[in-house]
Amino acid sequence: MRLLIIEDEPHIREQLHQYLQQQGYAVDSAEDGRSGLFMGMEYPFDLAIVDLGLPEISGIEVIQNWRKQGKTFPVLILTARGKWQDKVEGLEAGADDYLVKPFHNEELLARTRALLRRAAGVSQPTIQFDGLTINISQQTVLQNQQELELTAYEYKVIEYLVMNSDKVISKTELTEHIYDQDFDRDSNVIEVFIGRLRKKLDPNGQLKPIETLRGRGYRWNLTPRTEESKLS
Amino acid sequence: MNYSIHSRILLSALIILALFMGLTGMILDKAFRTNINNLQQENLRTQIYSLLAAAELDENDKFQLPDEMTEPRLNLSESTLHARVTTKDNEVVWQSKSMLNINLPFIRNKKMGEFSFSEITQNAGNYTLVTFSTQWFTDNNEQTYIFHVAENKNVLSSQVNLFRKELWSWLAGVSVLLIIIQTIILNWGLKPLRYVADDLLKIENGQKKRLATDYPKEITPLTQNLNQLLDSSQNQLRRYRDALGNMAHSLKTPLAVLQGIFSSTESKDKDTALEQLKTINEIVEYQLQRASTVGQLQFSEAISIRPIAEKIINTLDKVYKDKNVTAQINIPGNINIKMDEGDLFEMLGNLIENAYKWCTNQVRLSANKHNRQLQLIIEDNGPGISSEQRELILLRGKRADQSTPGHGLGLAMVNDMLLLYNASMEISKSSMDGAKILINLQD
Repeated sequence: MRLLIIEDEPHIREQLHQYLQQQGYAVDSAEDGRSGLFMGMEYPFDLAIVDLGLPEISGIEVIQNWRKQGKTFPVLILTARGKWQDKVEGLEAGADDYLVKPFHNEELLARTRALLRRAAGVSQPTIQFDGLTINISQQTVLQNQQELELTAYEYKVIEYLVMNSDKVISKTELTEHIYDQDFDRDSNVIEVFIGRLRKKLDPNGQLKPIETLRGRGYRWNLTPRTEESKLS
Repeated sequence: MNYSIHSRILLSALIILALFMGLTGMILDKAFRTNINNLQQENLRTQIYSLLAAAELDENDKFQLPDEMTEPRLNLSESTLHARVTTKDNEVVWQSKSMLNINLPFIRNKKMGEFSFSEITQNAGNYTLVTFSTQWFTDNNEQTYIFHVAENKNVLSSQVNLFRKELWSWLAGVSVLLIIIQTIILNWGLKPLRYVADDLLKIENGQKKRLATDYPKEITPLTQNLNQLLDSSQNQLRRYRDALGNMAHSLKTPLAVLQGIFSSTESKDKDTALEQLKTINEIVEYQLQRASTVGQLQFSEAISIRPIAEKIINTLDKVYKDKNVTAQINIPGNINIKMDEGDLFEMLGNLIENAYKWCTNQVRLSANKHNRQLQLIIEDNGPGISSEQRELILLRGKRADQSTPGHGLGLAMVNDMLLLYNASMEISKSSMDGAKILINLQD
């Protein structure tokens, strides 16, 4: 999952950038509204964290512009003033949640995960498949109650595929969403990741969780168990 | 005494009118009476002349006047005109038939050939008397005759009375007309002032922001100054709040930085530092909230509650999407509140967010207004608020729950804010099982 941070205060921007990277996200950051607006338009982000009091173009305008141009990724706004009028204005402009400064990093992470999950149409932090359980808030994958050992990038690939299970994901898209702008990309790495994941998730070759569509990309092939099926 | 401009002008106009009309009446009355007296004297002179003309001496030098005179009033016994001729020794030589039932004292006029007028009272009547002395020379002697003619003044006074009645009723009529015209002029003239008063009332009620600008030039200095005053108070308020907002911003960013630094370090003082940072932040938050609450202003606008409640609900529906909260808004659109808009946002925001936070899945907002008493009720179907917690929240100037930020703090802030609006807050149990917050606000 790739995140964009727009924050003019350098300390906070750096802290957030590092913290979210540590949490396994691909992170890009901008220091003013103009460049933030541009990045949001140009790169395929999964979520943006936008400070409202930005130089050049205000956070509200940035969000309004994105929404006008059809960008639908969730937006979390940061506000120092904590005024209700600001919160309402921000959410009316198209943001999805707000956080008042100063905030705890854990709080920000929880909100970020919830927004990503909601954007993918997943209502619970754990998604259950036959034989596999993915916990988004803990970033773990359980196979028959046993936690699988995955690298950060492997988890990112699974999460992205699961969150977009209704689509075919090309290698380029996958690269763009698991790496930030500065990363030296090589799409062959994706093939390696997919191969390794297939072995880890499906050692017996029965589940076939990741389907390859030749020339187009990959698709998550499992359907989550609904509440009803869990009961039965 | 503090009379209104209207009654001052009307009262002075009435006094002037009364003086003017009274004086006019008196002068006209006097003129009429003088005139009518002159007429009477003229008439009496004529009577004397006609008596003189008719008088003659017979061959024995005896004074003669016909029994029947050409003036009919002299021939009637019940008449108002009386005549008598005497010698200088007061011996009656002739008197008119109208003298039969009356005894008038006639006064002798010593001067020859001159008319002498006098007023006499006799038989309960007032008379104007004219006497004229004349000397007649015959062949062997001379004789002085004194002609007296008297006329009852009642004839005149009835005419004067008639005139007076007519005069005063006309004057009264004209006065009434003038008063009506005066009142109309006054109303029209003072209309702009009444409009100013109406405008001010509207501003006070919050229906308007400024005075209209199309007033007559005499009062535009007043209305312009008032508008400037209104503008400057609004601007001052805005500057003050902006300054506070900026202060909040500039304090919170370094706090956020510090919080981030301490969260990521592994120092043994980490927890203490974070705890202190949290306390600083809460103090800043709480005091800024208190300071930036505008409070009740004389000239604040009345704003409709429902649209703002809806905006906040829409915002919270987005934020608490996972919770699938059903919010019911029973607030009629015409319920207004005289509150600063920012304050209303804070109050409703804190109250409704609290309900969203604690509810299981239902929130209900209601409002009603009776006799300027506004009631605002926010309910949820959550666990409710315990009686100990209620007391803490309602302690003014104290934070509710020190341990969990946000919890109770919002309600305590609202409670403090309501103090500035002379409003009260009650916490009880809702029929939906959760908390019920009731706000009582006098409009």
